[in-house]
Amino acid sequence: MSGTAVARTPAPPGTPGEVLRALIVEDSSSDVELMVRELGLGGFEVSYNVAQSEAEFRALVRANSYAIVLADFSLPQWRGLEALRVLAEEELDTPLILVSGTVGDLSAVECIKQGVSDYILKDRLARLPAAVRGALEEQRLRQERKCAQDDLAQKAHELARSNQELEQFAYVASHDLQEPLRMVAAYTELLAERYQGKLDAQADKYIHYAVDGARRMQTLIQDLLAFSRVGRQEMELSVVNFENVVDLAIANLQTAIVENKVVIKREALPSLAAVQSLMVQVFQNLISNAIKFRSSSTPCIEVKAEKSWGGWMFSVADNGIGMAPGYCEEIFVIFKRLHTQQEYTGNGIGLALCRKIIERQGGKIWVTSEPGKGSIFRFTLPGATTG
Amino acid sequence: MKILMVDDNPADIDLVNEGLRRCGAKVELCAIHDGIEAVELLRGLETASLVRLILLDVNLPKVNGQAVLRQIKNDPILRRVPVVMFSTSRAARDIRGSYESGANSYVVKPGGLKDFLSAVRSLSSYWLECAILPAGSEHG
Amino acid sequence: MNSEYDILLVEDSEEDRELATHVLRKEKLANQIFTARDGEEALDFVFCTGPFSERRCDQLPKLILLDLKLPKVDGIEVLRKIKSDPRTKVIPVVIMTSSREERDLVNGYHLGANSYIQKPVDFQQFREVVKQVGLYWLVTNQAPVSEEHAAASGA
Repeated sequence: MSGTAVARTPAPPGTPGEVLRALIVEDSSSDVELMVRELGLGGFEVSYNVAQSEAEFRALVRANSYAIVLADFSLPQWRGLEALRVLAEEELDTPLILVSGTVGDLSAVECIKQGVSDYILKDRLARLPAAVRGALEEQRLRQERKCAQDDLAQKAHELARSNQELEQFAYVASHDLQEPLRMVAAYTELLAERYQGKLDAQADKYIHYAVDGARRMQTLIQDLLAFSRVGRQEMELSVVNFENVVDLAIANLQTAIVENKVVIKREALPSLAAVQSLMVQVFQNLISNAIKFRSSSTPCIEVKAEKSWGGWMFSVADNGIGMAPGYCEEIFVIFKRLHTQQEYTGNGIGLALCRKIIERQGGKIWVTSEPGKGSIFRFTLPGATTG
Repeated sequence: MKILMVDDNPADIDLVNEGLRRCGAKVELCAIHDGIEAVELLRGLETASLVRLILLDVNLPKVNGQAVLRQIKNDPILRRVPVVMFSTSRAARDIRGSYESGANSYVVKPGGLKDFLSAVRSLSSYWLECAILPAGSEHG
Repeated sequence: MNSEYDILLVEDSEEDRELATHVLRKEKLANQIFTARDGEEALDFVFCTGPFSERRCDQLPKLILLDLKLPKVDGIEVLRKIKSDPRTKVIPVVIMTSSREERDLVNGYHLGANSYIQKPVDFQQFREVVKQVGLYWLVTNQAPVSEEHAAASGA
């Protein structure tokens, strides 16, 4: 009934032998011999077992490791196609080739759809070696791909963990670092209020340095955190009305605008996909810079937009002090400043932040300027307009 | 009228006191560093009826702010007192979590002195003068 | 057009609605104010149903100013619905009403109203109260928004 014959056919002279471990589901021993012989002719050295029922099949696949399963479609006790199910249950990736006289009511295509690697008619056995090679190659590629996917999944997992650590650090930095700093800032200011002018000039100076230092450090930490956040966070784009954005930025700078009698002209601006809060920050930075680096004439700032580069190009132009063209690229580098703290305050993060925000939304930002002739900051954003 | 401030940072308590003094609020600031003690204090009936506002920090030792918040809001009598989370944390989870646990309001402690004192003024003028509380509390 | 609404004002008196809106805009406390005339409109707006099914419901208003006596669906019911849905329960709700009735007060707090304000009869006082409410809830208070919003809306 069951055959567990193990035979070795000698490799034909001149053909390099490949040891093929095969599990053959077949009740006719002569058909088994034919298959093995054909494989031998095709250059395989075959070591095989035979199974005729599901129980035998299952026992054999559990006990041994096979490179290929060759199955007849219909046996007295079983259907060859069922072997696919057993392989799946045993979580084996072994390719199965149907070798049959007939397929009964299923077409070859249907068999392949069910997971059979190939289908050979018994009167065309000469095709068997090629079919086996094909099936083994397919399996090899499948496994390579799975390896690559597992690798990718693992890297994604590591990245997520790394991001989480970074976020934790940012939170800690944000809270724990700022806490003692807040105390220093508040109480040096209180000291200043209480004792300014009541001790000597030297004391006034010391207190002033302390207050100033604490404030600058607070701004620095906040800006650094904003900068790191932009680098890490998902860009959740939504349709943003840029007229609102600029108006919001202007509202946030109200005090400075009124104090310096700044004139801001805003033309019609489009609505585009962007992250609203970040765009408010960009305009706030650019306008605030324009005010800070004003010349002796009344500060005048123009905000425009035009269709360009497959999206839109915004510009913020001022009549301030300008800068030498040679610096136009450098100023976007983080911490890079062109002036001392005494000349102009600032920590050199503002423009680096703008650049990061714009680039993460798929745009570019640059400036053209000349000393004494003001500056024009331009940036692009991709995307079709709506509304 | 009392304001109960639950915060383990004495410097912040002093700042709030200074802020209340400067805006002339006629209110006494009671400060407690420990969340559990705060709830016990509130459960002493006479005190509770005079407390018009609770300023609660999120990060407290032993029992954290949100847990204290929940205890207050689950108590049928204490839940009437407005609880404002007063914290340096801007973390979305702290903010949202506090509202979910029943906080009436959430105010981020400003970093600068001027803004801090301004926030204290805003807190006292809104909750002590503008808002109404359920029966049992003084008004105005 | 998807702009974030700062405030939802639910008030059936047209006069009060207009006055409140005017004060909030004039004091630059809020840009986007949505006014609902009755409880049904308010709920449809908040939950993006009915005439508001096109609205993006991931953007919550920073504040809801809610009058108690409303046609169609009354204020307490509106409050109950808002405070029992996990998506919307975190929105600060300030109840503004002329009714001094105790029951309303206690109910308001039991259902989780964040604050309770009495609308003054006097025109000037009403303006002042609206300004105070706006200043506190839109400037001092931190509404539950995402972190990036919190950071950007700055000083």
